[in-house]
Amino acid sequence: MFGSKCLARKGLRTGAAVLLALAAGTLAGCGNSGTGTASNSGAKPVLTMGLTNYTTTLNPAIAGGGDQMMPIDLAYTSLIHLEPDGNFGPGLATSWHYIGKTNTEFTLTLRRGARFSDGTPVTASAVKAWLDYSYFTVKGNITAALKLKSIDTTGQWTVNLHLSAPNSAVPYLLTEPNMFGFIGSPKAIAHASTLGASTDGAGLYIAVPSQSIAGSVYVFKPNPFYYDQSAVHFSKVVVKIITSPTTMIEAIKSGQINVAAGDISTAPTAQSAGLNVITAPSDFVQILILDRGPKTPDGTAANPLASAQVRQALNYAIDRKAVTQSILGKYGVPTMQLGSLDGFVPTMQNYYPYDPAKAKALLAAAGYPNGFTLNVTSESIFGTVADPVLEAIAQEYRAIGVTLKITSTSTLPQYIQEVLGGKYEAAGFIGTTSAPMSTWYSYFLAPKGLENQHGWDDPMLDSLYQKGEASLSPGQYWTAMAQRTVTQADEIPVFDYDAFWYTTKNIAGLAFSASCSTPYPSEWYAK
Amino acid sequence: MNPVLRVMARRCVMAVPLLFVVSALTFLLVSLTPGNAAQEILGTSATPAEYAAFNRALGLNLPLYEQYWDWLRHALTGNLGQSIFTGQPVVQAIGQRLPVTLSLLVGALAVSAVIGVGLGVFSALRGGAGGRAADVLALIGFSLPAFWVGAELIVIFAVWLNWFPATGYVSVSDSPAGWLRSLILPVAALALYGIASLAKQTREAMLDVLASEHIRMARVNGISPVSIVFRHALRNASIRVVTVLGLLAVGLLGGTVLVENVFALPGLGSLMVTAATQHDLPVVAGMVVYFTVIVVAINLLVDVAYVWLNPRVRVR
Repeated sequence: MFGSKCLARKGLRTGAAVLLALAAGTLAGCGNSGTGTASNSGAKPVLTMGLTNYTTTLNPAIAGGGDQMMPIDLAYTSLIHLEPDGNFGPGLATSWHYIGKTNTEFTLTLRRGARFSDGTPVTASAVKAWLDYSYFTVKGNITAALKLKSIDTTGQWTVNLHLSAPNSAVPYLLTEPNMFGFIGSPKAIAHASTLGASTDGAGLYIAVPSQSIAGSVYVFKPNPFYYDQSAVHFSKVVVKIITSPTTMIEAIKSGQINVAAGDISTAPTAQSAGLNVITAPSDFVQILILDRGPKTPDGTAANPLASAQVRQALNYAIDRKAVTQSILGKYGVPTMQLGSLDGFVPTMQNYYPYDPAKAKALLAAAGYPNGFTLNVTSESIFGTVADPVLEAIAQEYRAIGVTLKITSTSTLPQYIQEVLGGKYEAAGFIGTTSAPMSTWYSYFLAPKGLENQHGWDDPMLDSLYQKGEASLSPGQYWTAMAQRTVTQADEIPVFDYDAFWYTTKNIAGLAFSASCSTPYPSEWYAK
Repeated sequence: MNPVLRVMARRCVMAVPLLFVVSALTFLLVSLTPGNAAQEILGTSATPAEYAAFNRALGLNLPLYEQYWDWLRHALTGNLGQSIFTGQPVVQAIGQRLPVTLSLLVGALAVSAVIGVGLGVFSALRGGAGGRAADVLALIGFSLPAFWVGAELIVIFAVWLNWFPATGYVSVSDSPAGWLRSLILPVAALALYGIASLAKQTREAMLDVLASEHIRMARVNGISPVSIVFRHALRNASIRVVTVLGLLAVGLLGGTVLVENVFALPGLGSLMVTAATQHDLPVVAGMVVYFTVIVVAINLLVDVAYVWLNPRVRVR
């Protein structure tokens, strides 16, 4: 056929030559394909880390929490440091305390010698300028929780916060997970719109926008003005956003990255690959009750969830151990209470043992012998710990005649809109175990809480909250609140579950806990 | 007027209303999807007043047609606005990522064209076992999804053999060899479908042309087999191949989203997904403009190729 063999052979030869040329050019660097070169051989190494969640912005005044805090932690230092074990330590402030006994005045003394990456010293006036911008101009996540009225300074190193209401959680709110404690340079406020991709903090590193691609890759170089140069362990830090868990695990296995955010689907692979697998409880899952008011959200019928007996029945009807085991295996622990930094009561952990018969009896006593339909919206983007949990619970609720009608959502804004829209009785909810009880009260249980939308109020909880916020030793009130929410079944908690981080063998310093659920890259170093 | 210039002018004129329609539709569709940027940024802890203040500050409280008009006014001067989240100019954000997606797209098209057309010609000429083997290879290419192929390529070539990086992109200006290495696996994953598609279409087109009257005449007239295959048969078959190549280019543009995700490449696809999820309207609108321009450019190239390949089109 037209000398086709000859043609084919010629073509093969040409193809082989092209392939060889390509191979010569591209395989020259084989055996060192990774950029994760954190080995300590004299010069400071490069750290490359992989995060699953996209970082929306590097501006701490705007950014959300969780993993989004990690790149920001590289470039900004917080006023107060939340240690991985949950204790407070010095950050840009070396000491702090409430003034008086009402928890409405709070003062911080700043570290001497700290400077922003533009060389400006971190003084009281600089901190005030940034906090004014962050709190009063941007009005980010922290606004509702902090209750800040005004800020003033005393001398060069003292900042005073004046609150509009007692708040016992100010030290916690000024730590890294809340972002508000990260302080930027006053110079940066003038060009705040550029802070999405660049940085001007008093942290160990500075973002290099020319080498970064917002939302995908962030490159950081050491900040020459950082007050403790011995803490700068890397010559460069690269943060890659890798949304596919499979790609993430392969990237760290190939040595291309040194630290990776993991998940339950890749943990066994990471373990068998010989990586360091670091886990700790970091979040909890619950059915968040949005409506405990007298009427259902559409106002047409009596609301079953107004009855504590019904809510207790819904707690008794869940075999938490089985649900946790089937979804998380060894990486989850059944729970009966809101995960919190300061309100956890170990003795309440088995308050609602699995007892469908008792659940049915409670429903009958409350006037719902045939059950009812409960509409919930789900935080579906969280995958394994979202819809599957609700579906497993729906299965168990069928045994007591309760139909759980689940509405999935495709994005976080959609979920938020559904939750705040007032049309659901409940929602699947995933929260951090490291938030204070007062925060959960403000959102879920306060008379005007954003997720308590239909006029429900528990005066006892309100009283405990008021006392706790005004107390210098509020611990007793938070545990009392936790006990009250469990006995009244204000929520339907299901389990606490682990976060996963993987590191190559040459990286150390990665630590986190239920009290501080996001690790700080600023504390990692190469062995 | 030169026929090529005439085709180009016609396409460019048609692109203008297309850009208007597509950008307006984008605004409409984004506004219809649940959620908004304020909810993404402020989360669940903000009050309704804070949401309202945020929306006012960004002009998101204005009627949709006003938002669109405002965007359009600036777009006509080349200013596509700023990302709501990063504050980065949209043109800059897209400019950073365009080389990644274009490298992927052009690379995959080139590989698809060279290997796909080669396989198709080989299969048409050889028939028999060689031809069937080429057909089987094409069939495999059709049936394997790019994201799965990508994941397997990472395991084999990045983890086991450590030949290529598992993730990331190296700019050609930083290192041409690094650029090539960072692209080989994603291009291979993306090109597989294109290879299969082009191989099949080329084979069929070649068989049709080879069986035609004028090829038989050429053979009788003693024209060399090489000349018959490449100058006459392949050129005639190319019209169909170019059509497929054009469609393939548009399809691959969509495919880059998945491949960029698998290889964590900072391209336009991942930006589009992120921006759409966050309701970052300026970025979404800017991206749509760029994607539309790329699709128009592809169609333009296909039309020009038609003119070049087919004398009848040139005469018309």
